[in-house]
Amino acid sequence: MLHINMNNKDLYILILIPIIIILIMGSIRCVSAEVSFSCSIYNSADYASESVAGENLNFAAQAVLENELLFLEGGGSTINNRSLYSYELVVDEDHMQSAAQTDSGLLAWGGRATAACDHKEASISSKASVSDGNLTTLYGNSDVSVSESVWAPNSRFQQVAIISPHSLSTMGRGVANEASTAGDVRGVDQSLLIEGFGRWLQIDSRVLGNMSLHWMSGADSTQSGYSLKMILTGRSDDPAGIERMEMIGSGSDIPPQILPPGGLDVSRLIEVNPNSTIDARFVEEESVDFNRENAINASLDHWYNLEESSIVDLMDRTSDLNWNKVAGAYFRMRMSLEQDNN
Amino acid sequence: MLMAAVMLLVLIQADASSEARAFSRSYLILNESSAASLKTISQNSFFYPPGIYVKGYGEVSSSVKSSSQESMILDQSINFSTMSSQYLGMVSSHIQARNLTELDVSLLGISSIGLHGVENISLVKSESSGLGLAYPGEGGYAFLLTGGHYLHLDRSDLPPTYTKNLFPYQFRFKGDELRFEEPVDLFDQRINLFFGLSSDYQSSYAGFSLSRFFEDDGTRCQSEMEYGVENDWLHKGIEVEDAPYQYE
Repeated sequence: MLHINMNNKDLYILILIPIIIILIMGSIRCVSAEVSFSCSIYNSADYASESVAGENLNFAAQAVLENELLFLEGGGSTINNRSLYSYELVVDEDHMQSAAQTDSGLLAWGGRATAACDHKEASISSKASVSDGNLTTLYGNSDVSVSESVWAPNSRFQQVAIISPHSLSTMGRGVANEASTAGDVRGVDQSLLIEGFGRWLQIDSRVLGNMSLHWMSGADSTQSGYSLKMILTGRSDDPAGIERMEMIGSGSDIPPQILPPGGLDVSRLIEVNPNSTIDARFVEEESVDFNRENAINASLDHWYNLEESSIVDLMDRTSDLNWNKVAGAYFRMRMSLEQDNN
Repeated sequence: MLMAAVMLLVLIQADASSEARAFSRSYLILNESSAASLKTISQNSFFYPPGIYVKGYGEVSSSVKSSSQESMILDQSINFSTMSSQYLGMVSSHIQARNLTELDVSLLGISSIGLHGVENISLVKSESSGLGLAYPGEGGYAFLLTGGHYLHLDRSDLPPTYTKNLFPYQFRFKGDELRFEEPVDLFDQRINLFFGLSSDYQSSYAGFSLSRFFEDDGTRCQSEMEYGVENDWLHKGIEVEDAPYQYE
């Protein structure tokens, strides 16, 4: 196993003459290798640095330094499906980070920072994918951090992220196809967390079983606030094939919201309800039950027969719902959380 | 304070029919109440040649509590529809509240299909009725119970029916009880229970949909879910006539 460590080779360059141009090129390619690299440059006005650490990486970086310009660029990708990296980019007071780890996927990222006179910009873009395995990612900037963990058994998931000093956006998509043989568990167990401005929001989803499944997850952050969202939709030939199906939204200042919101029960009755119409006796029984359930100690004083004032609404159709589908269970879950930066 | 309203609608038509629809709706508007309950029950029966009936029963119950006397709206509706012999039912609850602390919602639907007697094979009739019970709490309120009924005539599209005698099915959705330790500033929730029988009455389906929004202290949460099951196994073991009933 080859180990390369360049921590002690950090570059610190001081501008002594009007124009100095420095070009740093680094390329590391190895198998099952641990890698770390860092670079810092500054002039009289600005400061920039980047650093990367990880395993099984390709990485290249470039830095340009002039007396009124800082330019830093770096990027890399993993070279096998068991890898990790952590990349940080700093420009003056602004900090950005992208990190990921997978045991069955591919990772890639790129970062760029420019500081010249009054102009300053920086960004990181990242991609990550996993197939039948685990993926954890961490993205952050000066305002928020977004962490996500995905277990995708017999499923595929890919994610992109764009990070700048005061905005951050991630979007992921996943898919699982229904297995041809029973007992083959597939789906997703995913957790998405965003922290910032002294608060946090989180969505956890677990949908596992023999089913076809599509899902999306994403986070967005600006200086005015941030949000999370997750959507899952799928079906199974057999409702019993869905072993777990839940989604929980929570936050620092809100009670947890849990899907499904209740239970659906379908059963066959032995007898038809004998009340073919709602007669007075039936109403009296219902009102007694209603009073008991609501602890109301009052008699039923008022009756209103609305026959004369009933309306006929020809437009208010019961929707057809287009249920021309094969037998099975169909579901869709969606959770969206938003936090203002008060 | 308790209010109840009863609605009874009967419509009889002496001609063939291929579509019937009915609905009931209870609407309770509360002013400065901290606790309220509303329950709506509706039934619909549709008879058509050759001696077949389709019956639907719907029931929805909601109760809410808030930490202070607030304005709230509880809206419940029950819809039945039989179109080209495909039967559909929907039971709905919509609640809007402020400073909510507790919420319970349950919905029930029952459907059945069968033969009502060969002596009335030419009968075409549709009946529906509705009941609303309201506990509006301590403040002012408005309570409305409305209903609608529609029978459409078309001799052409009634399908052959293989049904001899089908058991009724019950579709129930019981919402998880919501309990908030801290009152939620703004709350809006819609739940639908939908159920139906296919036009050949050999398969059924049921499901629910939820849309819940709340806002509290600068945080907004929107959760939605749809879940449905189409079953062939529901009707396994049911007697089936060798020769179908055929409407002519």
